[in-house]
Amino acid sequence: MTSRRDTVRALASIAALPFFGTVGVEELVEIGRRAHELAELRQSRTRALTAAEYAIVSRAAERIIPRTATPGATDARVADFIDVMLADWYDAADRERFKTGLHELDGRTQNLAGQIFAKTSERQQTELLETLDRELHIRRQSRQPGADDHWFAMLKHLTIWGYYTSRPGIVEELRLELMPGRYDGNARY
Amino acid sequence: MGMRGIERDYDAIVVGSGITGGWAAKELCERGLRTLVLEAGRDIDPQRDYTEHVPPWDMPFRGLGNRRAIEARQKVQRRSVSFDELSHVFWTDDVDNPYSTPADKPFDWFRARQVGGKSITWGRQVYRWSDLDFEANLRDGIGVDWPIRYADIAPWYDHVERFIGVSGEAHALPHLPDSVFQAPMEMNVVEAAVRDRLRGHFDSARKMIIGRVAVITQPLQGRAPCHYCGPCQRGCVTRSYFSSVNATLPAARATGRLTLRPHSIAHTVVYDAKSGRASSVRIIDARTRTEHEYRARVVFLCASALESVRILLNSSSHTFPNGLANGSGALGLGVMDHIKWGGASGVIPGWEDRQTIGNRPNGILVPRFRNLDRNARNSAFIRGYQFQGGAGRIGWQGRTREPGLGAEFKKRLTTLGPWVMSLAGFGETLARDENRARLHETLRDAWGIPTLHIDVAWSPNELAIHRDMTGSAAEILEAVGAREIVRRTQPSVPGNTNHEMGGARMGRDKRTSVLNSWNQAHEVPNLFVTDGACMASSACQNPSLTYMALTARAANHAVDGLSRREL
Repeated sequence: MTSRRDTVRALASIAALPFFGTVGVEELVEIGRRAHELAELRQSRTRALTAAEYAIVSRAAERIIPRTATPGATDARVADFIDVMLADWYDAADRERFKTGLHELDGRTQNLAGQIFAKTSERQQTELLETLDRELHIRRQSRQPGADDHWFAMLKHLTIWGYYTSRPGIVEELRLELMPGRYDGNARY
Repeated sequence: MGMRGIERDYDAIVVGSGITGGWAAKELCERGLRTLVLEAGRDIDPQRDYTEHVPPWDMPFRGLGNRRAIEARQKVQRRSVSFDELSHVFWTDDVDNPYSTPADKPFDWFRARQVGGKSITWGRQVYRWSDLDFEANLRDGIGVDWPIRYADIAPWYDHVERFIGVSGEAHALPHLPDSVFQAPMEMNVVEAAVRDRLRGHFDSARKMIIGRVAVITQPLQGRAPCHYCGPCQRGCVTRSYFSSVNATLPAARATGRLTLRPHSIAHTVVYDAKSGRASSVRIIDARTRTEHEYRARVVFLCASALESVRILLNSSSHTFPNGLANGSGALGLGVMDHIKWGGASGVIPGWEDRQTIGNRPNGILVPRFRNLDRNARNSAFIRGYQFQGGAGRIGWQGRTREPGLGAEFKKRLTTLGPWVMSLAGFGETLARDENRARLHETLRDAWGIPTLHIDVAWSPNELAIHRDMTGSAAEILEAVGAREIVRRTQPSVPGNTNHEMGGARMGRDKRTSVLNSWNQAHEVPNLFVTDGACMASSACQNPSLTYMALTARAANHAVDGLSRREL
């Protein structure tokens, strides 16, 4: 279903077309990319991520928090939460950095495995993400400024946050009682 | 009837429906006065407006809040510790309600405009003052002497506590008198161990007790005991914690003498020079932007400390060119808050097989232990501070930046980490005339009402208190065997503790204070100010209990005065 907001955005980009004469080639390409994205967005229920981007995010999230004896990131619909955050919480610059990172990941995967990320095996996905995680850890340990702003830092943080605040995360994984009706300061763990 | 025509007469007008306005309304109504409560914000219906039982997964931003909207409209309010994705509706819009500060002196002015005011989001910790506090200004030669002592307020503490319900434990500490208590909440296993270990140290001067909190543990007048759901700042449908919505306003309404008018922004108390009395209150209706005027025999300002000061400053007249009841020039002077955050936390090894169940809306207290002897200071500063805090196990929130992914990583995040004990100080602020609020020359709010310029900074005494908080918290944690102790050294921004007070201080001398010993304006006998504005010093205890006791005391005095035709 197309949301009203997407429709408005799509109309806005169409309305820009009569001004072709005043925009440069790069901007035209950008408008074209945007129009293509918007077309894709209209096909899906997502608001910030294209279907291809959504596929990367949901698979990466599942590799970070996999289903075990308890639900994983996919069960908890973490990618939907990340889509909402990108659409309504982050600024455009954060959103673009995140999306650029997803495309870089696809490029990296193409070079290594000849496939886009979503099509590679779970093992290959895990290995690629572990490399990104090691790089992130090194940046954090060397107190590199902006380490937390890196797109993978965003992805990992949002995955963890989205999972542990979801119903399956709270009820099945953490087994928290939100409405215990009592306080026990010395319960068994 | 003209635009400024008097619409209706009441016996009493109360400006504000928060923690003190609710008490003024209850006492005045119960003593027989037809009372109009003017509230600047909207009405609150607990069934509709309280959201404490909404689970995280039903929040679009999972507790992270609507960042863009909040940065656009609530840049100041968001800095409150109780501001969250759902509770943000209980704070004002900073764009509609501006104020200013000097560029180098930030001040967080947290404000609420709805029925219940900040009593919906308050911290609920309640501690009596003692004569150590009421005598402090006289002893130190700071500000003005309080015109009351503990004996004057003690019966009113009793009166208030019996109604609001306070859970806590009696300890017979002379400087922190016991309240009328319901059963205390429970310390958790590590807090209890820390309390016991502390007994052998510091000559037993540093004690740890369970917090005293206006959350009931036993039924009280139709209110249910706490069920430990946790996010009190979003409301409480079981009315377990005290707020004016939960308790005082219903009591006032039950008398049949209460009129509550929401959306009523009071801006002026009209002074009648002939009678020497306050005659009416002018408001702007927040929605229709029309002016209205209401007359009464007695006026209570309970709009919150700085809003009440603002109303008085905006109420100048021929007799009082610098603000109503401001012959002394003291109006706006001596604004205070508590300096906070000095403290420390550390890991307490052990008890890995224990956890807590339920979200206790309370913590522990280390009562003040500095400068208790009136004749001997034991520190580099005057006055003192107390610690609040607690122990808990580290959860996933504290570990999102750890390396790893996959099943092992998930297991590590889910597993509770070690127990951490934290202590955070709340320090007394001196009443200094340099710390003041005045009317801004040009800045106005969305309704055209002149707003405040607030000029407040910590003095060397507060900063010395803050340093000592950090040091002594670390000493306590070392003494009880904590490891990996982290010291907190950054002082809070003034106002951030949300204990702003002063600006219309009580005093013995009408040349140096605004209010007398009954919270009554020295120069306008039927005008009372009973919110935090009245405070002549700040002590280090959370102040709301004292505001409530002073309000109940003042309201009963006002009714007595009316019946003797003295007002």
